[in-house]
Amino acid sequence: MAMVLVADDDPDIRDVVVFKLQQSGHDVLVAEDGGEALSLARRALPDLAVLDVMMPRFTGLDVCRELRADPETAGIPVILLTARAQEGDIESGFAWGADDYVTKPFSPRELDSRVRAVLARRR
Amino acid sequence: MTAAPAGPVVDRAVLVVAVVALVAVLLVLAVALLSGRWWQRRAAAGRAQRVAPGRPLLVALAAGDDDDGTLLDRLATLPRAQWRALEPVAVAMLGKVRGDARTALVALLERRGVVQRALRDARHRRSTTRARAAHLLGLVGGPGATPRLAALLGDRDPEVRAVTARSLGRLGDPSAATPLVRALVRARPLPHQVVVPALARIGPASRTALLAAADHHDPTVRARVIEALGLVGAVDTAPRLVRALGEDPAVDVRLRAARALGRLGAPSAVGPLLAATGPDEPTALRVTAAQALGVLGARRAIPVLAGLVADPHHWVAHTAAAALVAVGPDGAAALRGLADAAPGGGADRPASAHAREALAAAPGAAAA
Repeated sequence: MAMVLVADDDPDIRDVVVFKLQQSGHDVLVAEDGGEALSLARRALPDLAVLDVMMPRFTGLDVCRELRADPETAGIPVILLTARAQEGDIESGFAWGADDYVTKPFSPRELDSRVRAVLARRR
Repeated sequence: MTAAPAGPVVDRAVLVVAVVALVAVLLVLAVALLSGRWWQRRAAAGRAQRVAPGRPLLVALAAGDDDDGTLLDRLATLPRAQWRALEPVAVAMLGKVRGDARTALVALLERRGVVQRALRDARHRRSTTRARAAHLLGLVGGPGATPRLAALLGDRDPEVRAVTARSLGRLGDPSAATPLVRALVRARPLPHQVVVPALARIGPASRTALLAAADHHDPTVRARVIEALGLVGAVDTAPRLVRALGEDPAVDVRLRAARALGRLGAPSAVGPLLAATGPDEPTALRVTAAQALGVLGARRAIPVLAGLVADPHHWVAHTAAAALVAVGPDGAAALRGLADAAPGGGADRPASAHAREALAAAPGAAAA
């Protein structure tokens, strides 16, 4: 069981992701935008963060960059959830230190597997 | 002594009535605005109340947590008022998930008769209802969806046609390629930016449908089709585009063929594009061909483009200089040679000026 931070401004996606991860036994922290995600990550130091790329205030890429810049949060694995399956987004995500990405529309089951794989790699 | 000129006489009573009327109108507007907001808030709260009992079930279904079908049964038998509020949420979720989650949501919409209703609503008299039906059919797909959507491509409302094209692209059914191409080339065509992404998602069948329309007798149709071939990214159609560039009697078709070849990046296009920059060709075509050579990044084109920088036609020379920058470091080096050739004036002055301008617009190229 791990503590996972989920940040997405779309309530439908957020609720589905949260449900799936809780069902898999994880504790889930929820943020509705990038700013909230960043402060939650700094405060709670989750085991993993699932970040939507397109969020208000801070994008998922911004949050990822900020997490990597802070030694306290630099080790938190990040999975990006993006509606744009374009090379540029994926490249930027990896350049900012993301560990994996999932494109929307997404399969909750696939996301759950990715979360497990990233957590297993970090342990 | 002269009398002062008389000003306009305003009846005091009329003024009072006008002010009172104005205040009354403002009050009525304010009351209307506030009651409108109140009504909206009340409706939203009512909707949220009706959605609340079913939403957790829907979220669980969309998360793929319904191995025994219990959730589906419960959602399928929700009271009608609750379902009516929940249906837009289910439809919105459908576009956000895939795999088992999507299959479960489609099953729910079918059980609730939403798909059958959308097939009927595609013929509704209200355009918003038809557009909503087209959107839903694009999300759900299934038997009957493509033919019904293909028929909607001829809808009298442009919004409905645009929603329909996007839905057909989402479904990716090859049988939709020909109706989409027809929508692109008919008298009141759908714009490229709507049809081309749909054709691109459909894939090879789109190329076949576009190529079938590329020999149309009307040059306007040929031009639109040729442009679409470039936008769809059909590299294997480069020979047909080369033929259009060299042989089509309509300049507009040749021009779009040049642009499409540049986008496709086919090496076989370099020779024909170089030929299209010749001095006997129409100026617009020479310019577009030079641009396409730059987009292609064709190093082989550098000597010809460098020659064009001295072309007497300003537009051709300017574009050739910019194309040299686009070609890359070798093109920029050729430009620097032209810029340095006659820095102070002389016979080569226009070429030198074009070269310096292009280099200035691309600082990286100037410094290299």
